[in-house]
This record gives sequence, structure tokens and C-alpha cells, in this order.
Amino acid sequence: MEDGSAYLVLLNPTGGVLGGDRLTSEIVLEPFAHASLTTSSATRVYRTDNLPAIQDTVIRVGGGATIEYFPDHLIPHPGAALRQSLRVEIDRGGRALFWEAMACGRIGRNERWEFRQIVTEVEVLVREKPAWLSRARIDPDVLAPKRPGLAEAYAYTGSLAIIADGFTQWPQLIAEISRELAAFPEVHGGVSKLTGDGCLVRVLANSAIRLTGICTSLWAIGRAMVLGLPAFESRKF
Amino acid sequence: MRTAMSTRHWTTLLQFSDGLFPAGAYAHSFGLEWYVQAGMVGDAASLESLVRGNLEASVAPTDAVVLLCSWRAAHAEEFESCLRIDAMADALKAAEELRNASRQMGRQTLRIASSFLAHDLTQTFFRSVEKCQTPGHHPVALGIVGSALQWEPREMIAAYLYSSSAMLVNSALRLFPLGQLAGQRILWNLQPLFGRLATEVLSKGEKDVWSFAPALEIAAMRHSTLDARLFRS
Repeated sequence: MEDGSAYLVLLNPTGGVLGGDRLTSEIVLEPFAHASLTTSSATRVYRTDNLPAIQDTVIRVGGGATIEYFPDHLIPHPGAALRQSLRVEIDRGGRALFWEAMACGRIGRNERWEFRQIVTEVEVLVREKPAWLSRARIDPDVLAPKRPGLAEAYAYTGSLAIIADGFTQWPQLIAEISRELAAFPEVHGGVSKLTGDGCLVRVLANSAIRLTGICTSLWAIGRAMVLGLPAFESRKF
Repeated sequence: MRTAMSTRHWTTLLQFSDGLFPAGAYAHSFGLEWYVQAGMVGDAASLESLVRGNLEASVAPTDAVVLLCSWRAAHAEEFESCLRIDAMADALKAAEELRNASRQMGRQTLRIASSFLAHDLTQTFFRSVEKCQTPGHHPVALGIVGSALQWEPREMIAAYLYSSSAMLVNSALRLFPLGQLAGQRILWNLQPLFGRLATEVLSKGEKDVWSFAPALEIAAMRHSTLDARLFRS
């Protein structure tokens, strides 16, 4: 990229994950490196009668390094089972902007919450201290996710985390994100400061276009205010 | 009632779970105020549905497990484990208002308990909270106190689930016209759930903590943007 960062598209040629698959990614950024990673399209999680699919990703962000990790959302098919983990370890002065999202099924086929189980875990450590921990276990048959307080009537859930060790303008960033969430149509979302140097945005949406739109828009805000860089065209769509 | 607790230990659990206990819960609605102002909760049925969702997808699989883990750590006199669990609780609470509510209630619980409880771990943990060496989350504080007062884990968890629900019902009584009888009926309807969830939590450990309540989390995040607020969360 013109700003000196590397832009990479992670490609799984099978187009999805099957029960029993085990995908492990380890992404290491040396001090002051800068990489932006995405996927070529949404990840389909196929039906399984037996073992779940497993996706484990570890990102190690060296001192002063920056990772932007924006994979497309998951699309679980009926009967699908997935266990997914993302662990981000950030060293002094490191920065991480990342996104995690899922659909509740193949919305175009009017399938909602028909998968068997999805377990996702996100663990962020900044200088070895826990900065954010999120574990979701969704068993639609047991949990009834359409209830008030859970996913309600929304078909898509997404989370954007912005972690920047040493960054100080959190009130300004959170105010800007709040304004964007309030102005963006057909998206329900909130933003909050995390316990350390970071903030988290949770969004619920009813279409992939809106989900992708709010992600792109908030990413641009984070890029500008935290990295001091303009947004760029991902050339995927 | 099946319990190995003495009457004295049982009544101390009642004291710490009572709505009269000044942990500061009265100042918080845990996102409910946003729901009421958004017009999504305004009667007994919608309130009960939200309280059930909160119990099953958040309080039981997260806070109640943290409570049990802290009780176990305190029971084994593992102070460092209590600190680790407290740090985990802090990282789990992404919504700042909920994080602050839990910290405030934990600190108050410790302040009161340490004033009349000669228990080394409770006193040491409280000093660490006062020195800002650990956040002092409510379920962590309560688990440590529960170990000192020899609460049985199952009863302790059930009482925690009950008091978490009663807090929401009490908040609702101040937010919209909900009769006392309707409020009590909601808690009555939830009684079987307290027991079932307490049994489920008993077998869990730190690695089993989870939640899935994104809409409640968003409500808690957006609460601070309301023009007029009765509660701090």
C-alpha cells in the first residue's frame, strides 16, 4: 500500500469449513510492521452430523506494530457446528483493529438459527494483561436467540474492537463512533470503552449490506483517528 | 430444604442477598432503563422475557460462574487465583456502565463485610481493591465473602440469580407502572429457573464462562446517551 502497510487477502479455496476441519492461523507482526488482512468472501460453515469445524487464529502484534483484521462474516448452514477462537497478543505501543461477525443462517433462503452450535472466543492481551475477553456459545435450540436481550429480530451480529496501547483520545473516538451508529440506517449498535486502552462496538443488523456498510464506515473512523491514515478500497465488491 | 449450612450461615446469605443490603444496586438498571425508554419493555410480560434472557444468556453463564470460581479459590486460600478471576471479570464486561456497576457493588460488599468479618482473605482482597490493584467485581467479592461465611455453593448461586432478577424487577417498579403483585409474580415464575441454572453452574469452571446477550450489551452501552436518566446504568 502507499502508506507502507501490507494488504493481504486470506483465501480458503474450499469456500467454507466442514465438520472435522481444523484451520489454524498464526499471524506474527514484527515490531513496527503494519498489515491489513481480510478474506475474499463470507465463510460458509456446512452441516455436520459429527465433529464441529474448528478455526483457531493467533495474532501476535509486536511493539509499535499494527494489525487490521477484517474477515467477512460467517454463514452457518442448518446443522452446522463451529468452534472458533481468536487470540490477539499486543506488545507495547501495538495497535489492533479487528472485526468479527456472523449471520444467523442463509438469510436469502429464510433460514435463521438452524445451525447446531457456534462457539466463538476472543481474547485480547495488551502487554500480557487481559484487555477484552468474549466467549459466546450459541445453541439455538436451547438458547432461543430471538428473545429480548439476545439477538432479538436481527439476522446479523458484529463486533469491532479497536485496541491501541498508549492511545489517549478514547472519548473523542467513542463520540465519533456513536454519531455514526446513530446516523447509519437500519443498524442497532453501541460502543463502549474497554477496561484498558481499547473500545468495543457491538452491532446488530438485518442485511449483509448494512452490516458490511457499518463495518466499513467504522473502520474508516478508527483508521483516521487511531492510525492517522485514510480509508482504502478493499477491491472485493 | 436440602442444605448443609447452619441457620446462622444461611441467614448471612440472606443478609448479603437482600435488597436492603447497601451494595448500591438501587442506582443501576443494567440496561433496563434504555429498554423502557425505547418502548420495548413496558409491561409484566416484556419485563419477564428480558429478565429470563438476562439470566440464561448472561448472569448464569458469566457472573454466577465467576462467583463460584471465586468461592472455590477463596476456599482453597488462593489469593492469586482470586486476582486472576477478578481480572477476567473485568475483561469480560465490555460495557463500561456494567463494568463500573459491578466494581462499585463489589467494593461496597467488601467494605461492609470487612467491617465485621475477621477473614484474612476478605481483608487482603479489600485492601487490594482500595489500592486499585484489582477491580473488585461484585461476584468475585461475594464469592470470597461466601467462602468465609461457609455458604453452600448451590444455595449461594441460586441466591445470586434471585437477587440479580429482583434488582431488575425493583428497577422496573420505578421505571413504569408495574404493580407490586405483578413484580412478585415475575419472581415467582422464575423460581424453577433459579434452581435449574444453579445446578448447571455448579459443574462449571473458568474456561466455561460465556454469554450471548448482544442486545442487552448494546442497551447498556447506549444508556449513557439517554437525555434523562434515573439510573447510572
